[in-house]
Amino acid sequence: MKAPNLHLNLLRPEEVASSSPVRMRVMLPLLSLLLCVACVVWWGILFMQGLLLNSKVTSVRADLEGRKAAHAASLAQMADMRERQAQLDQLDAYKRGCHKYGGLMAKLAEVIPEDVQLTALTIPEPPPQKLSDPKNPKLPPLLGPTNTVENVQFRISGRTAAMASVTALMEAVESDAFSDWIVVDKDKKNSAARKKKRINIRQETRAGEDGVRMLAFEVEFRCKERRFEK
Amino acid sequence: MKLQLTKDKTIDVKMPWEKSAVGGSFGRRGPSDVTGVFLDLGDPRGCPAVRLLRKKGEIQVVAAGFLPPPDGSLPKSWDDLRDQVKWALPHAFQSPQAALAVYSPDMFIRQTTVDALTSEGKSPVAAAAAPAKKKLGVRRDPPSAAPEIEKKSTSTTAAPVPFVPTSHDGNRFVIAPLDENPFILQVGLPEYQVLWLSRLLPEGHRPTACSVQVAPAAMLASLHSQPDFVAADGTAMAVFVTRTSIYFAGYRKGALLLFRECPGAAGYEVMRELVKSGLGVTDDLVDSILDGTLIDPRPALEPLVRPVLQQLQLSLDYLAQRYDVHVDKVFLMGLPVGAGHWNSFAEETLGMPFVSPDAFAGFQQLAKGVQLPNDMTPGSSQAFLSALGAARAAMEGQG
Repeated sequence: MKAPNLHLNLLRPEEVASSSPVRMRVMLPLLSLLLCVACVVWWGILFMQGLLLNSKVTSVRADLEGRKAAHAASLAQMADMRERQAQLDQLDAYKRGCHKYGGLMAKLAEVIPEDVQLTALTIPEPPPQKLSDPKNPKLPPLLGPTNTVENVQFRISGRTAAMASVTALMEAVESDAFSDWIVVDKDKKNSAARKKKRINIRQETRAGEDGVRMLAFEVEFRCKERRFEK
Repeated sequence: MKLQLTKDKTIDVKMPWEKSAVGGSFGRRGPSDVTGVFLDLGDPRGCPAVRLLRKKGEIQVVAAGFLPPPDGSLPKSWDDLRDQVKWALPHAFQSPQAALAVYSPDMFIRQTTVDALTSEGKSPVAAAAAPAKKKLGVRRDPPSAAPEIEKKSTSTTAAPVPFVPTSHDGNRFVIAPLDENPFILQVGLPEYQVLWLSRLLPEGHRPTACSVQVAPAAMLASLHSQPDFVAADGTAMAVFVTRTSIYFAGYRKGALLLFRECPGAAGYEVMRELVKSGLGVTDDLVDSILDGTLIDPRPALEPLVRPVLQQLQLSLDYLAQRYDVHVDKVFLMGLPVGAGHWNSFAEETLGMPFVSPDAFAGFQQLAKGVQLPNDMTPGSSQAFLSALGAARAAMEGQG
C-alpha cells in the first residue's frame, strides 16, 4: 500500500510563524539598525577625534604664533650674543697681540754708546687693514684684524761720529738681552731674514763746530710678530 | 517552471529557487516533531492533544492528554478577529510546530468534481484548468492558482498533487484528488477562522501552527496508521462518527476513493440524547449504559444506527459495482461509546462486524515516560483521533 498523504492544510506557507524566539524578521531590522547605529557612533567618534585634532592644531598654531615673537627675540639675542662674543674674541685677540716696549727702552738706554745721539725711535704703524667689504659697503666694518699675524719693526735713527758705535749698538740690540723683543736671524744665509734688518747710513753734508761731519744712521730691527690669537 | 519546447511538447523543470507547493521549510516531507491538537471546544475534558516524534523512521507518541482550552471561541465574523486569543501549551507539548484540527459549524468537507467547482465560479480552479495562451517560451505557474488535477484512471501510483490553499468568496479551501477521476475532496473554513487559528499559537513560542485542518479531514489521515488498515492493504471502508455528523470514506489500496457525509444522520451527541430520552436516564448514566450489558440500549439506538447502516450498505454496493472494490473490513472510528452495539447491528445488516481499533494502535512505540490519560480504552482513545490524524498528516507532508 503506497497511498498519498491526505494533508488538507488550510494554512498558507506565509502564514506559518516561526516558533524560534529569535525572529529573523525582527532580528534583521534590529541588526540593520544596530549596524547603522554602530556606523553612526563610529562616525561620531571619528568626527570627535577630528574635532579634537583640529582644536589641538589650532591651539598649537596659536601657541606657535605666540612663541614666534619670543623665538625671534631669542634668535636676535643669540645673534647679539654671538656678535658680542665675537667682539670679545677680537678684544682677546688684540689683548694677546699687544706688545710692551717699556723694557726695550730701558735696556736700550743702557747699551747706547756715548757718541751716539738718538734722533728717533720708531715702531712704524702697520699697513691699514681692509675691515670693510668693498663689494658690500652696507655691511658694518669688521671689528678686529683680518690677519692673525702682524709683522712689527723697530727703527732706531741717530747720529754718530764713528761707524763702530753703530755697529756696537747693533750688536748690543741683537744680543740676548733684547731677545724678548727683537728677533735675530742666526742664519745669515737666509736672504729673506736679512731683509728684515735694514741699515741706512749717510754722512751729513755740513760739518759740526769741531769740523767733523757726523754720520746719520737708521737701523731697523724685526720685532716679534704680533699674533692675534684667541 | 514549465518549458514549452514545441506546440505539443512541454516539460516540467524544477528550478532551485522554486518553492515547494507545500511551501515553508518542511517541503514535501513534514517536520519530525509535531503536536496535534483537536480544538474541540465542546469537550468538557479539554482539547485532546498528542505530540508525535519521528525517530529512525518510526513515529512515537511523546505526550498525550487533554489540554485546557483557550480563553475564547472560534470567531463568527471578521469583527471577532480583533479579539485574538493567545494559547500557550504545556511544556510536554511544546514541539516546534503544531497541527490544529478544528471542528467548526461553518466548515465544509465534500466530494465533488473540478467541473462542478468551475461551474460554481471558483475562479482559481478555472484559472488552473485554463490552457496556457503562450505558445513558446518559459511559463511560470501562478502561485495562487489551485493545482491542476491530473487526468488519471485508476492508478494509485499517480504523481502526487500539490495542495494549495485558495481563498474564494470569504472561504479558504483546499482540494485533493480522489483515487478516481474526476472526483476531488474539497475542504474549507471561513477565512477569518483560518486567520484566527493561524495566530492562536503565538509566534516566537513553541509550538506555532504549521497546519490547520478540519477535524473530519484529520480523521481521514489517522486511518493510515492503523495496523488493521495496513493489513487489509488499505482497501477498506471507514465510518467516522463525530459529535454531530457521520462520514463514510472508502479506500482503495490506501487512496481515498469515496467520501460522503451520511445523509440524515447526526453524530454521537444525538445518540446519547436518544438513549437518555428512550431509557429515561440521566446524563451520567448514558455512557455506562452504552458500554455496559445490564441494560440493552439497542431499541433506543436503532433509529439512528439502522439508517446509517443502510447508507453504508449503499456505499459498499457503489464501490463494488462502480469500481469493483470489495471491502472486507469496515472501520468504525471516532465513536467514544457504544461500539459494541453498533457491531451487533452491523453483523445483522452487513453480515460483518465493525473493526473498532484503539486510536493509538498504530503508534506502538510509546516514548519512555509517556503517560497516556488514565482509564484509556479503545473508546475513549477515539477522542484523540483528530489530533493524531492532524499531527500525522503534517509529519508526512503533502501528497
